[in-house]
Amino acid sequence: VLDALATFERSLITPDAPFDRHLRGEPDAITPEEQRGYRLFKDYGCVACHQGVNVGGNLFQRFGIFRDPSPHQLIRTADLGRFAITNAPGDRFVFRVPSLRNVAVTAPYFHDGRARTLEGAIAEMARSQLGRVLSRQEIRLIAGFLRTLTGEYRGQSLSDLAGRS
Amino acid sequence: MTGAAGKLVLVVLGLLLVLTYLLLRSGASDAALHERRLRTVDALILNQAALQRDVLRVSHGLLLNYDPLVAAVTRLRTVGADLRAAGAASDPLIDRIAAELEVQEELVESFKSLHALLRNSLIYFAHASGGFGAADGSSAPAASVVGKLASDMLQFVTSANGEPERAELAALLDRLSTVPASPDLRSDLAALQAHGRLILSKLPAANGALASLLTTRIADQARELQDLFIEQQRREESRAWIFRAPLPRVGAAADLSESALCPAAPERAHAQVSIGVRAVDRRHLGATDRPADRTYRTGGAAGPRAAGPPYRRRSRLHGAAPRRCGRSGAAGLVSRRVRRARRLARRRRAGALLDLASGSSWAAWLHRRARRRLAAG
Repeated sequence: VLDALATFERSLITPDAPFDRHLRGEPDAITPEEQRGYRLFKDYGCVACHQGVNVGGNLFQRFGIFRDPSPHQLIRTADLGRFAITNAPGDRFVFRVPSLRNVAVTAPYFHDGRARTLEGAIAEMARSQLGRVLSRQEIRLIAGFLRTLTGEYRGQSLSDLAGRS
Repeated sequence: MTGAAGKLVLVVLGLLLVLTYLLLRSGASDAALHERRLRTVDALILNQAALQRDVLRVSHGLLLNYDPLVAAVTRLRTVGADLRAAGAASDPLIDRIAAELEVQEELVESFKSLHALLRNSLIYFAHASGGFGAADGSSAPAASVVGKLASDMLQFVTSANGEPERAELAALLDRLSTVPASPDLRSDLAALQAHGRLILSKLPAANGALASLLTTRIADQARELQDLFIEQQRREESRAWIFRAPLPRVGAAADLSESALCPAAPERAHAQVSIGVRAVDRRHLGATDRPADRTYRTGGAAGPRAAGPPYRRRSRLHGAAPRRCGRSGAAGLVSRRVRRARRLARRRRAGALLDLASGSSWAAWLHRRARRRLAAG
């Protein structure tokens, strides 16, 4: 069963996102606004965790570095993150940094689905992980960049597939 | 069967048993397994070096993502499993290496998380402190503090120790809360303060994780294991050699004894022994003769005697009357053919001596001596 799952997961490749084409040198693959969003994404340090070929997914990080992300909520086992598996005190609220590929079509966000929109997820990440409040304009620009990470599956754009379903 | 022949058969059978035992024990150790073990250890050393190189590249900003670290850890995990599968699962050194690999995996995870945090804060710190350069009026004191803070932070991050700058940096960061600034800059100052404190607290931990990753003993232990495997292989070869060395002598003795069963025709004697062995098989193991065995004839089925009467199957081994051996009927056990057989045996012994001497300093001398004796016949 594990082998079957692994084989299935290996088939989930979604290449040719506009940002991939931009990196390959296509001049019009992403708009100037999306490029500004990418610059903000780098300037604010998001890129420190969301890097690599999958724009994340290759390290663990504490959720809520600068601010408790759920101060008024009852903590459930799922909120404890990696601690639920390792029981190591240092792993409390530690989660795998998710890949941002196709993030625009995978709402809702976070382990408990607390953010329904991409913009909401960006605002939450800025508060809890970057320790600052982003303006609407900054959030819009970063969200625009993140939408360029939506690729294709078997030749069909995932944005189209998500819109149809 | 006469008493003497019976004893001889027993001797031959005994020698065959000894020969079989020696052959089994003298088998060379599994060279393929040895090779696989060495290759696995090589892979361990190489991947460990690759991981350390990539950790250094990441820490110095030459590598901006952690994918190579993840790949190296995955490869090391595979190599660790291969090492266990290479037939030495119980080796305590392999257990130690496996334990070290697990610790290292956790260290790499810790390093990645700390480094990402630091990088995030350093990027933000550089970005935010740059924005204060243009501040004036009521925010000028804040800009001055931030400027000093940025300078000290740079020293702290790049210095080997960092302790001298730490206290001053902490004081400057505290001042950010009270320094006069316009309300719109207050949130930026708070963020700068938070990131600055995070750098102060996480940098030593990240450096500690880096130092631990670079001083891990996995490569040394892998080399130890390599030496252990080589030594193990040498010991197995030596043990096999102990059983291999007497093989030619025992073989020669078996040949001679076999020849003595039928001194005039060693080939026939050999065939007789073979038939005897098959008879024993039939009697004790229930094996049956193959058709080819039933039609066995001296010189082969296609030989000139193929159409003639079958070779005496009921030989002395089965209690038949002793048949005449030598063609000339000459009396005595030692015929010309027996002498020839003995000469052959001497040559085999000489060959065995050469085997014994192989690799030693007196090999050349022994070789010359053996060749002289062989030439002399």
